[in-house]
Amino acid sequence: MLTSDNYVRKIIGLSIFQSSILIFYIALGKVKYGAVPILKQEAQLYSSPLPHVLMLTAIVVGFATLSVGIALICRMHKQFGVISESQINEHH
Amino acid sequence: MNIIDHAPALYVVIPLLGALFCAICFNAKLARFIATITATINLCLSVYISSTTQSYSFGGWKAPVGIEYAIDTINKPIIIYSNALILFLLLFCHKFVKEQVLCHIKNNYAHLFYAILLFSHTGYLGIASTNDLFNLYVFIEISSLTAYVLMSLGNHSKSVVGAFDYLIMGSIGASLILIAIGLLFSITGSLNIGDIQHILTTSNLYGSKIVLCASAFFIIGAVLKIAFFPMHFWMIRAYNNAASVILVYLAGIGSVIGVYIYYRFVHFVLDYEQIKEALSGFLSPIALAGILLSSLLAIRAGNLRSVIVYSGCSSISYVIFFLVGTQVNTILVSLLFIDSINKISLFLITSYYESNKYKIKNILGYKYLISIILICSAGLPMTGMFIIKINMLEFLLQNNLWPEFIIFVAGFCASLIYHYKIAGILFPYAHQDQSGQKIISYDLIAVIALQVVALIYFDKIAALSSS
Repeated sequence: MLTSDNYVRKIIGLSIFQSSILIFYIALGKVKYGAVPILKQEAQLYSSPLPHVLMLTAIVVGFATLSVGIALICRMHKQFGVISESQINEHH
Repeated sequence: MNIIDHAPALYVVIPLLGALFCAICFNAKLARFIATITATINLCLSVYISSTTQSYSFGGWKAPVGIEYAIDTINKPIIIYSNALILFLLLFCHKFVKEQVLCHIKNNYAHLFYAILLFSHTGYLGIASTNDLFNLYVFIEISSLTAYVLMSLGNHSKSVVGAFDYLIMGSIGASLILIAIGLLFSITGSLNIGDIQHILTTSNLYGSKIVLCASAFFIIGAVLKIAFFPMHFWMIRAYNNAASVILVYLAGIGSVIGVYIYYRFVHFVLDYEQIKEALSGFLSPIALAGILLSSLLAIRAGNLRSVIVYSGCSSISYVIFFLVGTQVNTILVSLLFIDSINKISLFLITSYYESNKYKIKNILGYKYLISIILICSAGLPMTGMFIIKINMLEFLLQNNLWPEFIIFVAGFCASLIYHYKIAGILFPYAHQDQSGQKIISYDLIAVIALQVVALIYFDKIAALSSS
């Protein structure tokens, strides 16, 4: 993400980074021998549903970041005709 | 039910609704009117609330379970200040907004600028009022996402590149904060700030590696957001290219909110005494290096804007030094506040400098106005900054911190030199060609009035922290 010259790759790297945090949170919610957190007769122990709910918000945030990033890249492409960092820096 | 009981939520909801109305009104003038009304209502509401602490639970779910908003002595001044700042931007800086931003947006989309501005304001107010860590993260993201968009506006060809850099670094910072929140959640099972501190204290978890790890992640994320010295590159690039009128708002509020996030975390989530040693040992030397280097870079910088951006960097280093050092909050609060006013006035001058229509030479009495602003910002005698500088040096002497004392004096001398340089850039430029219609610049007068008010009530501002 930081070393790539191509802006699209940078934004993809950022996306992967954010998705890894989603998995980290969902892993936190797992309770050993816990069932899916839906109210059932036979289940005594449930996994924690809270991290999943939090991650719904984080997914939306990640999606918004991705969209803003891609919109910025679009404008860059309109303005400079390229999406490579080194070429844009050469421009000026 | 009294409407005032809902105030902590209303601070955030009013600008959010305002943003919504701005977005659907399809008319720039109407949008500006709505935004001004919203900011005024919010300012009146925030000034009107007299009680010092107020807690609000969403949907009646009490604190550890539900989301809690809390207004206390620390965040109330910040809320009032940020409301006043956005009102100032909407009322006084409209000519620059028009010239630097709205001119470059298609007419049918101009109203969306106000929607985004208010949305950004929602984010900042939310950060200030929430007492829930995950909610804090969401508001950090809301404010940053809108800040990226605001930064990318304007006619500088590279403003988009600056905004993209800001997006990458800002998202990394926010993600680190999110990891920290996850780690804290994993060990305490709670997201409420007060509740986490309670659990950490009662179960004596401060020694735990997870808490250590979480604090490291959070502090690095927050420092990245503040743009503290080694991680300041995004700020240089973004601020060098964004429209200066946007920076009047973003630079003015950004550092205050960044420091607030940091302060709220180390003092309200963690027990500061436990991590004080490690933190100050680590961050103080970096802050000192930051003071020296950014002052040096400010002296060497080529144009007006770079000088101002680097001077902002050095003032952040002063703030961090006092933030991590010892418990001298009296200096910290006044420094943050007056530094924020200085930044606003310097970026206003930049707006005049870069403007084609409202040139500095056309301002009525520009010599006096700009001289006063530069004197205030440089911290010459008779200004608030001067008192702060004297207090800082006095504090360092009392604690026998001689190397720090020398570095601070060097930093102050450098600040005089680069303010002289700013004057050197501004005055010859303004002298050429005296023709043109004279205008009265209410914005500069308002900023100077604010400086005077800050000077008169200096003791009261400093006392805010002690309560």
